[in-house]
Amino acid sequence: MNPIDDVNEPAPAQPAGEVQSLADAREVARRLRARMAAAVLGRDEFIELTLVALLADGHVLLEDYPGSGKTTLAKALGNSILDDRPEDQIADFRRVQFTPDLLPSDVTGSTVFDAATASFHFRPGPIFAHVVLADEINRTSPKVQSAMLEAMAEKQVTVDNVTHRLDALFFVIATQNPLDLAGTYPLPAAQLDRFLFKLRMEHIDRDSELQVLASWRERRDVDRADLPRVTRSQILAARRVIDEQVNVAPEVQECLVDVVRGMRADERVVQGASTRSLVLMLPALQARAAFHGRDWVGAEDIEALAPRVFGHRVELAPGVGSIHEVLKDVAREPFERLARTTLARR
Amino acid sequence: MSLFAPPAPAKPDRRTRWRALPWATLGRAALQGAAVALLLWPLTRASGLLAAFAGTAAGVALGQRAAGSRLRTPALIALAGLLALVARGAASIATGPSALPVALGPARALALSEAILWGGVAFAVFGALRACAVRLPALAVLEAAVVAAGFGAVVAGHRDGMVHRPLALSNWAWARGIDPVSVLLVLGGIAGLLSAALLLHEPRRRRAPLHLAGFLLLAAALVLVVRVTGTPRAQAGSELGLQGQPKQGWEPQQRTGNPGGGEGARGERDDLPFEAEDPQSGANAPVAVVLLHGDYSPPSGAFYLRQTAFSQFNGRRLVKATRDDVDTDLLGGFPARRESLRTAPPLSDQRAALRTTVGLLADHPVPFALDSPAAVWPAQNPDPRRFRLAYGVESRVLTLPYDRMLRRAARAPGWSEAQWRHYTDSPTDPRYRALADEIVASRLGPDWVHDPLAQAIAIKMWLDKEGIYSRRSRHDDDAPDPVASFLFGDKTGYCVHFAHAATFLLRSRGVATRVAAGYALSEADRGSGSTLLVRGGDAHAWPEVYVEGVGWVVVDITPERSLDPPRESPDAGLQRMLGQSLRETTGELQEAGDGAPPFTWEDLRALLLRGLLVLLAAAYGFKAWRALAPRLRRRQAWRLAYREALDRLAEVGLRRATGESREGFARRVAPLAPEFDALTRGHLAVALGSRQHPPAAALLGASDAVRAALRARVPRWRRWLGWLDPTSTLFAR
Repeated sequence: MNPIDDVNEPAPAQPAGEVQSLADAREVARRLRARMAAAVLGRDEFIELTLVALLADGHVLLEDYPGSGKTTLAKALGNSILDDRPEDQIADFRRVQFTPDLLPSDVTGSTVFDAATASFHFRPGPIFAHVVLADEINRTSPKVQSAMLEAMAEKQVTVDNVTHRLDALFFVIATQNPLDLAGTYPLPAAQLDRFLFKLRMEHIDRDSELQVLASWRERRDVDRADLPRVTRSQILAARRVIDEQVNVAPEVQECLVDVVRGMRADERVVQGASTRSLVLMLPALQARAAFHGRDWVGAEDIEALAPRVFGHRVELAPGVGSIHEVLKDVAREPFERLARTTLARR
Repeated sequence: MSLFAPPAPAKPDRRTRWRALPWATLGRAALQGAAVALLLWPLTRASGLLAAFAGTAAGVALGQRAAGSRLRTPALIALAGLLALVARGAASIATGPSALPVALGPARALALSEAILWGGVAFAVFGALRACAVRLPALAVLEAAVVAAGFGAVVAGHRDGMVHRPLALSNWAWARGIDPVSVLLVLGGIAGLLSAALLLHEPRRRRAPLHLAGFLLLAAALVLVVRVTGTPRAQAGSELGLQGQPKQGWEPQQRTGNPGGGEGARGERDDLPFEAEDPQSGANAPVAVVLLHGDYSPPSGAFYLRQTAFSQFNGRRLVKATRDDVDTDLLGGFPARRESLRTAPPLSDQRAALRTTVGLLADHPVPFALDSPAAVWPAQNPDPRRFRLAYGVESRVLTLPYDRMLRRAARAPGWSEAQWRHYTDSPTDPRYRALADEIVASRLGPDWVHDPLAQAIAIKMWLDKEGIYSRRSRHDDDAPDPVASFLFGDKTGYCVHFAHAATFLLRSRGVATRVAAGYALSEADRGSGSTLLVRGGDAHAWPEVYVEGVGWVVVDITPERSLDPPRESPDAGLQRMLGQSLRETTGELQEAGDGAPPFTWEDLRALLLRGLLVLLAAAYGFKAWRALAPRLRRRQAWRLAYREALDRLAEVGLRRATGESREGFARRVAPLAPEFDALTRGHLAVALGSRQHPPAAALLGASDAVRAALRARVPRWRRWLGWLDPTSTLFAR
């Protein structure tokens, strides 16, 4: 059972536009999850992490083999968001297929001459959408990658010295193929740092795969209109509510900082995680806590998110197997300290 | 969600593993090996020592590796035990009736056997010890103790201030003009440093309780050592020139009373010398002072301070008994605390209690006492520069006059046939029996010829009349029967000869007799009432006859004719002074618990027991308080109810691992007590700043539910065991 569902509190029947409490925010996440889970089977964990990233205002890099459901996942997310401001011309979902000959303007948009008005005006590129799927992002040139980078970090694009703001709900799901590396431009560390999570998707389990085969026809034909969608402003409100109402205790922050510092001091780590990663991680921890029906961040949130957040930011010494073993060692003391403080009288 | 746990168990980098190996492990292996070799020094030969060193070193190195293996600790220990047994078996094969000793020759076979035995045993024991010490750091104390014991074995001979042991070390030091004490101190310092280094090298966790255990172990070892070896004895100086040279000029009897003098290595003689050596010198040197705490005048007219007795006939002469069930009235050694002799005769109209305090001026191997000692205890030495040792004795002294001891049997009712034979075994030479018959027949009426004491007195009187006392007399010590050479020869000799002659004569007539040795002092020598000054010349041997219902009765021979000049009386001034000096402190000692050491084993045990009880009570009280606290302080329920649940879980062995998060622990416990998860959430919500605090009732309810779940799912014995465990709360974290 997914943790989002497992706390038996009555769900509000319908968040009537306004998202004011954590329960409302959770309902938003629950609806999104339901729609995505209906589209992609056996990916519950990734769906949850994607939603955490969405509500924490981060971006996700998916690393997987072709045909594992990345696009479906991203599309389902885009389709689940109801645009309650159609006048701004921003699409729900756009997909950009990155190729070596792509130009930055193909992504950001360009200024074109309008013969009717005899003036230049900006035509937004595919990046002007709520959810953007950046497929095979490592196949394009660094020039395009860095244009993406500005967009992701600053939520704005600059074309011909004019800065255009992106939508507040700008969420990038980038993918890359971990095997087929010939002729690619691997993302530099600075760019990887912009992604909140790098998720490595494994093949789904047997039952889910069987279920996919059994139900793919219906899922292709049936529009999931019966499942409720959420609006753009509801997601934005949920972000705000989570940020305001989920408490991150000083002890938890200490624990987080100690883990990162311990990792930097460990001899198995060549390059430690940045301070920015800590800043990015806080909202993610809050979002995860909210998903699990809590208004406080606990050690389990760190436990669950740390490998995802630090995995692609930390460079390990040659011969060290995985970030897991490093984390297990460096986290022992901070976790022990955190656990001990909770029993203290106050 | 995924935890930190990676899918596959992490294997440490090979390079780091090898980098850690050489110094720590090799140093430890060499140190342990050397300590074990030192400990085994007196037990085995060169091959065994080398093998023990190598075996220990290899065991330590391998044990370090074995600790990291998946083998469980009991299996490791069992394996080590098996290995030790195999080594023993193999060693016995090497010397047993097999082709191997024939092929190698006995010397090599023995060397091989020793090497296999000690090498194998050392390997097994120290391999297992190292492996266990890695897993349970507390056991590292044992390893350090082995090193300390190795050092102790080297310098054990140094106790009692004998600087010259170990000889190899002290000779080396003396030859360079260094005080051996400094060398020993340096060695001790090094051993201490190395032990400390061994301990310090252990991982840091759980150090504090470890230290405590180590201290307790050391203290217990110290107490044990003191109990076994006794407290160090004061080194008597020669302030009055009384001891002189202990080795020089002992006359024969004195060597009996004080065999070996200060030279412990020569030990005690098992028999009495028949050849006199330089009889005159030293006869007047005082060797001990005896204080009588009570009025007593012995029926025999002399104080017989018995030190030992010779009752076993070895075909030529009498030696010390090798049986355990005879001569049980003798004192075994100097007491470290009050010791009672269970064989002492009861107080009656014929036995009175008399306390004596003895201050030794010269070393004696065993204490002496008036017949028959009932209890002996160490007394405080009033002046260590003068007295070597002081002890107190309570004797049940004989008050019965000799004429009332007549008409009794010569054996105790409880004696077995073997004991009886032990006391009546005599030379096969028929002349003894013939002479004894003749003496008895000529001196006693027919009514008395079978009375043991009457016969003894008849023979005594005959020897008094016929014998000639001379300390210069020589009767070949190595002759087949030195007593016959005296008795059927010139009848000239000293107390040893007379005592043996009387004993053999009496034994030939079936009277249980033995030769006792010690000091004999005439009642006339008793100085200012209650002080006896024992001089070297007072050493004496005398026959004792067993009289039923009375015990051993002295029947001493005092030849009428003597070739020696009469003994001088003791110096009254010296006697008074020494008596005064001994009395100074012993007077109050009697009230102060008989001068027992201030802190005995019993005291320590009682103290430990009491401390343990107090600790136990405190631990149970603490447990009870923690169980009650959440109900008493409901405002703190978020913390206390959770802690109480932690206690209950700890009792059944569920403890949060170090570094495990509380949520992770709750997940782990969930199959057993799913309610614990809600309690954990409630607790953490308050602790980590949630806005909605769960109500106390809910938390208490959850804690009750955890208890109920444990009651339902954990076997009763396990819960009771945990409930009885006073330390369980220490692990609830």
